[in-house]
Order: sequence, then structure tokens, then C-alpha cells
Amino acid sequence: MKYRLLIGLLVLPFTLVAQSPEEHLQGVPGNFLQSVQLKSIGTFSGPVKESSFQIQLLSTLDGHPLAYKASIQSPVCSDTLCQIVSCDLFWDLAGYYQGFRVEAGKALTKFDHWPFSEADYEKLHRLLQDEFSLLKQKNLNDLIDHEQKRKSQKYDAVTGATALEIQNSVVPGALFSSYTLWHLANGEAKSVIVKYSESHLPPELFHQMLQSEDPHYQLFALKQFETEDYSKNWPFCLKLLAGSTPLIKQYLLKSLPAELWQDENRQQQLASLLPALDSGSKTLLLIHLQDLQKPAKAALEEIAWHLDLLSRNQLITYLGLLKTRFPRKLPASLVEQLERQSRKTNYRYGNLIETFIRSKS
Amino acid sequence: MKTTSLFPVTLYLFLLTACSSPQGILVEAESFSEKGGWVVDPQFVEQMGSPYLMAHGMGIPVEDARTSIEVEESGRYHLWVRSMNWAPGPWEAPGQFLMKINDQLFNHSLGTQTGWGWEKVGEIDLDAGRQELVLQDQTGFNARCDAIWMSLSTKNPPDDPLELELFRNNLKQSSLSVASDQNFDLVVVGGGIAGCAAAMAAAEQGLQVALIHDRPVLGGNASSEIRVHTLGIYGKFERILKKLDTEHYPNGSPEAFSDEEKRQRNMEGQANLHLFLNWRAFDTETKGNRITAVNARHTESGEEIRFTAPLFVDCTGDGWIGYWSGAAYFYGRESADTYQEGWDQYGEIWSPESADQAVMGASVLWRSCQNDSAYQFPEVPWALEVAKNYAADKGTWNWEFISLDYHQIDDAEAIRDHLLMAIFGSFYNQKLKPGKENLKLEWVSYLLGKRESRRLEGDYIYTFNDARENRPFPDSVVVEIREIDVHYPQNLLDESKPDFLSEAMYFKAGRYYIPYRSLYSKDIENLFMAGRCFSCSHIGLGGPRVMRTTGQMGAAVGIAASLCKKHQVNPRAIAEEYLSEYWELILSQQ
Repeated sequence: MKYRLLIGLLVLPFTLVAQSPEEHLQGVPGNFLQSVQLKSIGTFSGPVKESSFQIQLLSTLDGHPLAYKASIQSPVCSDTLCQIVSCDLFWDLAGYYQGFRVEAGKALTKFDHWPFSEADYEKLHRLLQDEFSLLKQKNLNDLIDHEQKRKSQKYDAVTGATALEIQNSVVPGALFSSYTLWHLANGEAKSVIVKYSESHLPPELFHQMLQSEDPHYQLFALKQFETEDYSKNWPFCLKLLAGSTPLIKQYLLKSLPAELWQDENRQQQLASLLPALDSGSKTLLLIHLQDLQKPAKAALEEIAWHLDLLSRNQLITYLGLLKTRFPRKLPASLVEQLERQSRKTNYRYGNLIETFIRSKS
Repeated sequence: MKTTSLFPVTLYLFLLTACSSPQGILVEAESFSEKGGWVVDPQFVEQMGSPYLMAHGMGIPVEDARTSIEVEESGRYHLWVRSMNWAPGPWEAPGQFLMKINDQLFNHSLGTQTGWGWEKVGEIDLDAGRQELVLQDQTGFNARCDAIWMSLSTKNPPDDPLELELFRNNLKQSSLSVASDQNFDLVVVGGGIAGCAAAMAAAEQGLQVALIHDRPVLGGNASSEIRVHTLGIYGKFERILKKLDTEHYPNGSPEAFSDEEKRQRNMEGQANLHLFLNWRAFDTETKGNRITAVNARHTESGEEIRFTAPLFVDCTGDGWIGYWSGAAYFYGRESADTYQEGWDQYGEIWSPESADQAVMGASVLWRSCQNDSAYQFPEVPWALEVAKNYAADKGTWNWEFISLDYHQIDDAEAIRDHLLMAIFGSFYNQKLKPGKENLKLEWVSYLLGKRESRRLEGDYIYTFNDARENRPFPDSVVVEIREIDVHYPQNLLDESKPDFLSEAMYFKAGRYYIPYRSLYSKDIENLFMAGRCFSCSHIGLGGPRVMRTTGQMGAAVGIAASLCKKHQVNPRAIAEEYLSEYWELILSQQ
């Protein structure tokens, strides 16, 4: 329960809590740094040449891991001047950027030395959360490419779009700070953290991650599974299939050990989740059933209730499953369900079902 | 100078309008002599059986298509049209049309049946002699007509794909002469940038080259029909590629036309190069591990040519030439362990723990403009199932449909149609916003801009690690500095996002190299490949899939082909025995 609470704290989105007038804290609770212990676990480099930073694991005083932290003192350079950015960056236990803290008296500043406003800090936090930011593909030089600027006069829309891309990915007036901090928050640090977490965090913590609502933690925990963990954590697996992101559902369906697919009850349970599955997961479910020598009749009946949720390809796969499973005659219960479905008003693939039924009669 | 077979095409247009037999008359819609506003769509021949006519009016019914046929026997004819409702559901079919024979209009709306199939039009009494057939678009939303069957018998023409193919072939055999043979030093199939570069490079070296392409214009994804700008660097082939590439205009821009003119002019002016535009390859002939011929059919007349040569280049993108010849190929994402291509930064969405069939998707680009006056756009309930409440006034590279459920080749038509629904629905939603009364759909492509499909296996399989480690090769004929760029569907991480938008992941690798050994088949001994079907992993494709890089591949194999001819050897021998001479030739042509 304690872990659950801790993880709950870690995933508080956009938490902004009381802080001293000069301190700026984004994405982490204000009391986060009280009564914790720190342990160095490795270093990572930043986008500025020869810059290197230590990563520390934050744990409660009794040793429960909370997050990772790095104190950043990095030069941020444009083509005319350099300044120092000073802040703490935080990552969750799966290596995803979580938040930052700027100490009192060390406010981040814009290009013209104006300090960041509160809105700027909030925008910076949102930008750092975007692991797919366009900043990923930009070199520092790209941001001040004078040739690009000339091009923009010729091709309005091209460089207009580029400018817009950069505008949306940086704090206005803080192009180079945004760029540097994004690469620190979303760069090499993640690999260092993932490697450490995988080998050093206690197994109970993975179990708690599995139960969290955070897809990053869910996937991280699933990636640690041994074959026997799937059956041990079966209810959680079903819960993830019912409610997590398509990425997690598809990963899980691809990873379930073959022996679990052999279990007829489990087949039925999986099939009953069809309405909750995304399109890719439905395809994976059907492919797995197709790979079985004899898929459970009950599972096939479950799917028959939801034929209108299948795409044309999926329906064809399903009818193929029935053909293989029942080479001679379809059970009456299935025929009834198929007929009911094909008769539904406006059902678009009724002709496929009717043709199939005719071929089996 | 090229010598396209224009005379036989013209002749066949007249003769082939209808294939008659005692059973009836088959009229292929794509062979209509006047197409009005209908377009010929040959993209899905391998799936649905034939090029077809489509009324791509972006919401405005297009002009009638019409043709004349000769009826030999008087009588009561039963009429069918092969068509499909491309967006079935609880709404009126989006693409509907009517058929007219002479002055008789059949009021039965066509294009309403789910999936490709024959729809009964009606019956008509016809005298022997010339008759006029007319297709009347009713909706402007991509009605499609594959063929018309007119018979004195009441027997339905076959729907089963195999039976239909036989039916067609039997009718054609009774109407067509045997395919003609044409022999070349090199046959290049696919007229995208890679194919153009291969053909031009080989022709420059004196080879007699045939370039077979299924569209009227060259350039593939860079053409005015798809309008993707070319990315990447020129490597050792700047001189050739500058004759073919594009400026860096926004994707979808009509500026594509001026680059297309340049490309067309340069290709048509190239000595030894024979362009076969509107010809689509449909088969290969092999002997042992060698291809002896590629068979191609004119997309409108149906005329066939058998192209023979000692060497072939597969620039089809989908790897058709290799596929038909039995070459080994890949499709889908390898597991991260297969080639150690994992990257912690993006983990599972970069390279999955277990292999699957998800690949990067295809795009349909589109744009809108401000009309001088109010512009009405029809209700599109069938499109909103896909677009939902998403609103947009243009679509660029990230309008990309990626789904485990859709195969980039087998389901290409469904992918295109899904994107059309996304476009028309999103535009409709945009029009609902205040101040958008004058917004008008300016252009929507009907051709898929594909990124990834089959990849043929060569002697070397190029992977992410070759880029990540900047690995040089003795035969590094292609070089690139563009970041590796792999896409995934936005709704993979957030199901509430539209399923037709993608996100890109970038890896900055610096300078990386592709060896010549990735540009010929490992098991079909006289087959080169250039373009997205070169020998690589899914992630390996992420960097070099753009068109200047694929153009480098094309130019490299075109030059290699000239050495193959000179020494009477297969592509592999260039890597094993003639590499220094190959390099000299590459460097000297710059």
C-alpha cells in the first residue's frame, strides 16, 4: 500500500504546489525533496560538448525508491553569448521526465535576460514532457541557420511551417534554454535510468507499477515479466487489456506465453474483452486464436456477440477460424448468432456472413 | 530518344473498347475513349483485378465518361457493372453513378454494393451496330467502375476473383493478338525517382533501357499526382539527381508541376532511354534463378508487351518483380533482437520485443484554398465515422494510416479509402467553423504515397546499426546524413487520437552508408532493386527511404548494370570482382 501511494505521488500530473516566491517547481510535489536520501547511480551527457551530469536515485529514508534527479549546471549558448542554466531535473522510475525545480535566486532567463514568468515555467514543463518534440531532430546549429532564414522569404509556407514548429516547441525568447533542457530531460538520461531500475529496483515495486494507472510504469513492469508472471498476475493482465493504452494491450497480447493461450478459460476471458480492444489488439487476438490448433468454442461464441466491432479483414479471419474449428457443421448456437448479426439493419458485412453460412449448410 | 509504342496503343484503344464473345461483350471502363472527369486508377490491380475508372470530384460530380462499342448481334441485352460501395454503412453510398446506353438512362444507382462485385443495371434491346455507353457520376465522391458486361444471357458474370480472371482472359484472348516482344539491355520497372535515376544512369552509359511506369507522369511520390518533396543528399550522383528531384516546397504544393516538367523533359531527352508510361507490369517469367521477361499491360488499352533483357531493376516500391520471381523478401517489423536494433529512447514503439506486421503507413496529401465566393460542401456522414470531430484544412506527411489490421499491399485500396474518408470528414468539420464559408477543397490526391511495404533481401541487409555506428563499406555507393525517421500511429499511445495521424521518431546518426550489396537480390541473380524495396530492416529503412537517397540507389544500380553488360556478369560479380572499376565509373560520371 505504501508503494501504491508513492507511485500515486509520482504520477500527479502538472502538480504545482505551494513554494517559496522565488523557487519554481513543476511536475513534482513541493514536499518531494523532504526526508529523502540520494544515491548516485551514473552519469549522462547533455547536448553541449563535454557536459556531464550525475543522476541520483531519490528514496525515502527507509529505502523506498521514489524518482531520479540530476542537478544541472549547463552552459546554454547562442551564436553571440552563453549563460548558465541551473535547475534540478526529475524522472520517474521508468526514466520518463517528470518535472523540474529552479532554486530561489537562480531563475531561468530568456535571451534578453528577462526572467521566466510563471506561464513560461508551465510551458517549459509541457514542452519537456513531449518526448516526441521536434527538438529531437534539431541540432543547435539548425536553430540559427541563416540560410534557412533566407529560404523563408522565398518559400513562405516552408519556413513559416518550420518557424511555427520551433515556436511550438520552445518557450518564447528562450530557444536555447528550451533546446538544452529538452535534450537533457529526454536524452541519454533515460537509458541510464532504465538500466539501473531494471537491475536494482525491488520486484515488489514492479508489481506496484503494474497496478498503477501510468502506461509508462505498466509497460516497464511488463517488460520485467518472466513467463510465470503472466499467470501470477492474470487479473492485472486482464485489467490492462480492458483499460490501458493500445500500446500496452498489443504488447501484452504479443507477450502472453503460448501455454496461457492453450487454456480454454483464458481464451474465453480474452475474447470477452473484445469490445474494449483497439483495432490492432483485436487483430492480434484473432491471430493468436488462429495459431491454436483448436480454439475454444466458448471464445468463438464470445466473439460472435461482437461481430459488428470487427473490420472486414478481422471478420474474414474470424470466419476462417470457424471454418477450421468446425470443418463439417457449425454448432447451432453459432449459426444463430451469425444469422442474427447478418440480419442487423445496415450491418455492412452481412453478405460475407451469409455467404459463409451458405457454404457451411 | 524514347520510342514509346504510341501507334499500337491508339489502335487498341479503338479495338479493345469491347471484348466480344458469343457469351457477351465485356467493356473495360478504363478503356473508355472519352473519360470526361473520370480518372484511371491502376493502383490495385493485383487485389481487385483491373485498372478502373473513378469519379474523383472532391464532392462535385465529374463530367460523363463515354465510349462507343460495336454490337454484332441484335437482341435483349442484360447489363451488369462491376463496381463497389467503398464506404459501406448506415448511409447512402458515397460514390454513386448511373449508366446510359444511347438515349436510355438506367435509373438504378450503381456503386452501392459492399465490396467489388457485379451490380445488375437492367436490360435493353439493342440492334446490331454502334452503341454509345455513358457513365454519369451522381455524387462526386469517388464512384468507381471497373467493367461493364452486356450479355444476351441472364447468367451473372463471376464474382470469385479467380473465376473472374479466367473469364476476362478468355474474352481477351478472343479479341487480342499475342503480346509483342521487346528486347532491351536493361528493364527498369517503376518510374519513381529511384527508377528514373536507374534508367537515366544506365542509358547514359549506353545501355538500351526500358522504363515501365503505370502512370502518365514520372516521379512516383515526387510527381504532381502525389506531391511529396524530395529529401536527402545527392551523394555521388548530384548531376543526375538534380535532373529529377524537387525543390523543398511544402508537401502537396502545386510547385510539384514545375519539377515534374523538368524531370519529364530530362527523361524524354535522354538517349537510349525508352519510356513506357501507363504500362503496368503484371508478371515475370523466370528460368532457374534468372528473370527472362517482365510482362506489362497498358493501363487503358489492355495491350500487352513482353519485355526481355539480361538485367532487371525492381523500383516498384512494393517489390513486385522480386515477389513474382520468387525472391526472398521481408515485410513487417523485426523484433529488437533480430538485428539488435533496440533503442531505449522509444523502446517498444521503435523496435518491438516480438516481431509483427506493423509498418509505416501510406499518406494521401491534400490542400484547400479560399474561394472568391461561398463554397458548398455536401454532407458526408460516411466520412465522419473515420474523421469523427477532427477538423483540418490540409493534410501533409503525418496524414498516414498505420494499422496492424491493414496490409500495405493487400489492403492498399482500403487504406486509400480510409484516408479519403478522413480527408472529406475533416474538411467538412472545418467548414462548420465560423468564417470558413469560402474554404474550398483545392486538391486531394487519389494515389497513395507509400512509405514501406515489401523489402527484397539482398546479399547485405542494411540495418539501424549500420547508421548508428556510421559503418563504412568498401562498396558504400549510397551515403546519407538525414536523420532516421520512423513513424507510429498517434492512437497507439492515446486511443482518443484520430487513427489517420502519425508521429515521427528521429535518430540523428550523422553520416551513414549503404552498400551496393543491398541493391541486388540474393537469390534472383539478374535482379537489382532500388527504392524502398531495397534490402534492409524496418528500422534500417527509416533513414534512406526518402527520394534523393533512393535516387542514389537507382543511379548506383544503373551504372552497375552497364558494367554487368560490359563483362557479361550478374550484379553480384560487380561487388566481388569489379568493385574498383565500378568506383572509377561512379566517380568519373559526376
